[in-house]
Amino acid sequence: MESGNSEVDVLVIGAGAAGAAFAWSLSEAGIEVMCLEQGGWVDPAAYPSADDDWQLSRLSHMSPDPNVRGLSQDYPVNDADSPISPLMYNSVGGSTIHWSAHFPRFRPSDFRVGSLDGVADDFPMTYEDLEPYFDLNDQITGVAGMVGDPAYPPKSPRQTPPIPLGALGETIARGFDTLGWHWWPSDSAINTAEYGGRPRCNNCGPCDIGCYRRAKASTDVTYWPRAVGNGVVLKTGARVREITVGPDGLADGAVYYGPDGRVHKQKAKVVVLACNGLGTPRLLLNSTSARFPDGLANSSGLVGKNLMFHPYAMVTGIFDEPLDGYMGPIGCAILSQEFYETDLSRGFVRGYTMQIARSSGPVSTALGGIGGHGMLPWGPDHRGAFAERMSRTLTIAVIGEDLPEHHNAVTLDPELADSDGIPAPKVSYTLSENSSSMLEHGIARSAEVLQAAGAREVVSNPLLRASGWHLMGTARMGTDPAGSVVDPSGRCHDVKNLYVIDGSILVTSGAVNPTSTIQALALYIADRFKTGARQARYR
Amino acid sequence: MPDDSTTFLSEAQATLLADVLDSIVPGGDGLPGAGELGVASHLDGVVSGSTRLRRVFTEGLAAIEIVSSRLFTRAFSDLSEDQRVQVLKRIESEHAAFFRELVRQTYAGYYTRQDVAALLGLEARPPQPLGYILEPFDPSTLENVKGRGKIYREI
Repeated sequence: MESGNSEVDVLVIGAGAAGAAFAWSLSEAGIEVMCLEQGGWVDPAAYPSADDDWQLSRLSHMSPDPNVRGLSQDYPVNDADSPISPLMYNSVGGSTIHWSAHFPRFRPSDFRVGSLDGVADDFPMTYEDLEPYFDLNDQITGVAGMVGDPAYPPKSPRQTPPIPLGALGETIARGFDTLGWHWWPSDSAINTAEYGGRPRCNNCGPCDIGCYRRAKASTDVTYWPRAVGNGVVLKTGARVREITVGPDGLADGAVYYGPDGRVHKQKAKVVVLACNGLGTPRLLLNSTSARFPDGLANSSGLVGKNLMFHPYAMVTGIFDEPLDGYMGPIGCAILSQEFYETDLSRGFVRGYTMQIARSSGPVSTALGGIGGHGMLPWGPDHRGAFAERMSRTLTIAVIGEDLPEHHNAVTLDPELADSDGIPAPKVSYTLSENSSSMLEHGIARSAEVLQAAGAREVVSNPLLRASGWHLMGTARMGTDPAGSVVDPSGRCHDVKNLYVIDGSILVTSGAVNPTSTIQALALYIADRFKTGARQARYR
Repeated sequence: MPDDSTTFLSEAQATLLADVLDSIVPGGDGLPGAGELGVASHLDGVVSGSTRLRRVFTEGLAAIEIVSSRLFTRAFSDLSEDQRVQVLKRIESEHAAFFRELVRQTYAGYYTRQDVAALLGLEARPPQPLGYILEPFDPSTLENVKGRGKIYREI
């Protein structure tokens, strides 16, 4: 092992959504930061969007599923024991490379689930506490949208105008209006006008294979250039195997495999984990020692537990007229939060968002569309089925709030490992009764609004397997060390110089895409860290 | 021009596969079938890159001939279209994993093609660098929603 590297003040593991925001924030205060990332920089000009066979990239190197993608920087995931497959991307930018950039915030009640609804717990901060950080994150990211949404408290002005709806968005908006239900143009981390030195979106469609124009915000084009400009050292191809602990019980650095394939040790005064809701518990569980035989910072036994996804039901309307859904950002148009807040008369607690998704090219249509409705029939019925659907569908993604349950967990697989022999994560997850009832309700309401919008036929997928983009809860935040892994400042109860800042810390999951809230929390934690660093020494 | 060269499939397998593909995505409405279009070479490329798929497809193609012979005492290529569909339905239930992969790769190899896109009446080009033009968002469409007032739970 090479230990020649001198000790850094703050070592961040993971260069994704949270790692980037945190590293930037600290660098603004002149704090020395190094980040280790197992992937590399992606060149936007190399995304497949301009290639003739761009559609095939989704089936191979641009698949969101690491088990399909199998790039050298990927690690395998055992998801056999889960009806939802975890999805992520390893690179500078992390999963923001392939996200659809649908960017709503958690709502005020999402921070008070325990107090309001008697299930799960509260976050130790409120929406108001995070507002300045939401605003700051929106400013750096560049959000397209419109203020005045009655589903949220008043927000600061959005950076660019709302994403254009196209025939597809206008059609479904009319459906919501007919029923008198809420809808609003989604806050989206996509430039609709030039912003932040990046061009506007040209509505090409497949955001999921990377943004060729850098119009979609991924942290490699938003936070990282600023952070690196401030002096943050970002080491790519650095795959961390474990966080080590000194005789005083504090973290003292990370052991990692470098691009040369050799093992290195990077010493640090403070270690910050930003490896997502799968990668972070995996790293902690792989970091055992005499003091932490069950994994680092795991005296509560909760590292890896309370895994939350967002269970997605997909409801697709087939229309007689072309909706041309292949134009415009694939996941960003409008959303409805008509059924977001708890109403126990529905038969479940908490609620869901209806995110309107567009459609994609002929390959996607033939393979079952955005909704994952199964491949189209082959043989004599094929042409007719294809003609009915191509450019004539729109899909409602029902995003249900998942509740934290102890048995839903990330553990270390006894056999599976990555190319460096680091044990891979195993996911064990069952869909709760509450989620099933909720999604059933969402499917019925979605069918109603699709019919109101003029759909001739509605098909539904009760649970989309390829939907595990949102990985949450596995190193939860709380005030009680017996009931949480990190404290309200993101610091591990057990290890006073170890922090977690990714989706693992979420106490509850909300019913929206979590990245906006994860990044706001990362910036909040960064500010508290900076205050603490000024006020006291941590050793 | 379709690339008719193959790397993994034997000539006999390639000929059989082309007939199979014409049954999976048949020609019609001015579009050629997947076999006629040469999509077999796409499958050949995909299959030859994977030891597992090579085994699955070797067994699967052999099974098609066995079932064809069992049901109709003739080679697949000598069957009528109806008979071919019957054979493939049997394969679909008896060799489900192979058949799923076969259909999936046929759709991928067929619909990725620019000439197919053009015949379908779509713009036969990748999404970039041109993108598409959409009318800007019209805020006046939000009047109904705004009129309803606040719908979030205050804490």
